[in-house]
Amino acid sequence: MSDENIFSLLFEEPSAKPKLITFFAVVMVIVAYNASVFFVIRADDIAQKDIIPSFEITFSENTYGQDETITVGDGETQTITYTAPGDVMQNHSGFGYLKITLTYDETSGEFADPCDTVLADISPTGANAQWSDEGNVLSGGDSDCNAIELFVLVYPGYSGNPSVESGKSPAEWEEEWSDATHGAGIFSIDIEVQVNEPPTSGLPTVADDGETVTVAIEAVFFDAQIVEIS
Amino acid sequence: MAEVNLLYIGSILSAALGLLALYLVRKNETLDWNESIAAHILCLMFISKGVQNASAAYYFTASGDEWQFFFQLTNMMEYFFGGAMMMMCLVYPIPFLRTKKHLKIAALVLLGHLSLKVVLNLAGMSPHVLQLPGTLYVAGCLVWGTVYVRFRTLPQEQRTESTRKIALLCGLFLTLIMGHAWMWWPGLLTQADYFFFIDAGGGAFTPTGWDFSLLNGYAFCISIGLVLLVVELYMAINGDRSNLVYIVSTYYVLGAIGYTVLSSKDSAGFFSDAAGLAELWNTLTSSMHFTIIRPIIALYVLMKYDLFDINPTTRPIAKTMAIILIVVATSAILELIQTIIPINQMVSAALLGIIIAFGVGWEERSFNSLVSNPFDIRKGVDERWYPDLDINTKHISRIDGYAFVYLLLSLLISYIIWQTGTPMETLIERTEASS
Repeated sequence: MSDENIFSLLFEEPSAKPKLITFFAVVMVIVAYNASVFFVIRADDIAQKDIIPSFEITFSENTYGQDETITVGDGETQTITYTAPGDVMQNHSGFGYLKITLTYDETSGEFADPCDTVLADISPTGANAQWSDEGNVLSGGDSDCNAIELFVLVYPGYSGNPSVESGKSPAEWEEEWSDATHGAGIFSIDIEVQVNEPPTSGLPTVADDGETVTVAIEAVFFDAQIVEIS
Repeated sequence: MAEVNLLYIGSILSAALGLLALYLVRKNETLDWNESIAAHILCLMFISKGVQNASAAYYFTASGDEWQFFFQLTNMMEYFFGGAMMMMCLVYPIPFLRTKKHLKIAALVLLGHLSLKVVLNLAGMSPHVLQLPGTLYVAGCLVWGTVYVRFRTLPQEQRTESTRKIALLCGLFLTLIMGHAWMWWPGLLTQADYFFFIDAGGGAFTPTGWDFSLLNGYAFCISIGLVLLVVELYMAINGDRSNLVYIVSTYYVLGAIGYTVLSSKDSAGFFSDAAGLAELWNTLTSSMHFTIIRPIIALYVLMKYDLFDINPTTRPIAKTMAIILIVVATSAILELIQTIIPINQMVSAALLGIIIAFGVGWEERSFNSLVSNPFDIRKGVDERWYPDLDINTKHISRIDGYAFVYLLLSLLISYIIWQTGTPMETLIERTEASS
């Protein structure tokens, strides 16, 4: 009897038949339900799930300026700071970048007095920005009264240019371009002046002991528009 | 990252269990033919899981195109696991294959199925619907589920300890193989995204037919699990409680809790790029099942169902195996808890020491209890259930050699697939087609 058919053994016991048939019926009902959901009820959603959507992301910029004029003595360093206003941070998607322009002239009035040397430096501390971005200009200097421009990328990946991206959902892109933590904190700009004396500096009445520097801070905020294009 | 670390732990646990258990099984010449085949296969399944878990961990962390090698190796081990599971359910605990001819036909069919999968891989058509993912799980579900229902629902006067243990064994195997799927039952019933958007390869890598085949397997698993749950609850209410009721209900309760976590995501569950709480939940449930619970269930089955011949020679190795499993599993769970509750490492080290101290003591008692009181699933059961085949133990041991050859072939095929770059090409083609 060792090679007796397994199915005859399984169904041999009279009470086993209805139990096993019920078991198979339950299984088949659930499996049929799964198939009906997959191929009918949620067929459209399932067909769409692998389609990778594309989005056009554009930015509109708003620049908030702050000008400050300071006088820095010879060999001294002065620090000015910038903190993004809370209401501005809230009203925009994000803080794109910070641009600082320093301008100055030789103001001593002495004859043939050459331009002083002005050095500017943004400390990569205090504020949450992309301090290691290659496009940053964190320090600069000039001795010819030319403008000095500094630049800090604040929002990661921000260029202001429109782009087309694939994948993710509109909400995820919105989330990606609306992180208010970028730009939070205090930006510090150190300005140092080294006076270049005029040829007549040996005379008792001639003195150039500092310089007046105008610092123009432009904080560029953006609003991101995300449009699904396919 | 915790999920990847758990894969390494699972790799160590599975490989240690598989190798040490295989040594002990090979020493055991007292097993009947079907038990011997099942014991060998169970050990080999866990060795393959050891390789697969490590391979999957490297796949997830690969930085270059070598992911294709680990991707293929992971698949090759999964093919082996599925085929081995299928063969095991056909011979143990109740042999559905009742003659040597049956055994040969089944082996050839499985070999053909496995070859088709590999040929499709080599032909650059992977993943392909003809690989029928999940189908072997369906077959395993039906076989073990049928035996479970048949023996668990016997009339009261026919129930014996042996029939109860046969049902328990089927329940344990079903838990081992498909416990993770049981936790997705609310997703199936509520048509949730995390179940129906299941995506094994990410994006459009797997075709719709492939996804359905896999989901169909999961639906089978969930339905069998529900039957188990209902039967066990009914039996418990009527005074014939089995420990299986606690095991199965735990998975289903976890599934209900997990629904609130996973349904908040609009992507698929286990295979998704889930992040945050969903990722943590998957690590603590599905991944824990795959990497830690499975080897522990296998250890219990191997010891309690007398698949080892524990004697003074083999006893130290069996004990070592149990200690490795308990200590590694305990430390892994503690480390996982540490990722959730960031307790100081010194505190966790002290806790680990305390737990191991208790664990080792417990292990000693549990080990003695397991090996001194094994289950006999044949006592009092009609002999007709167990055909007497004359198969030499040495012939059965050749399965190990075939498995080793398969492992070598898997490495070679994975290398070829990597060098040809077909998974990468498939991924690019299907992703471009869907965008």
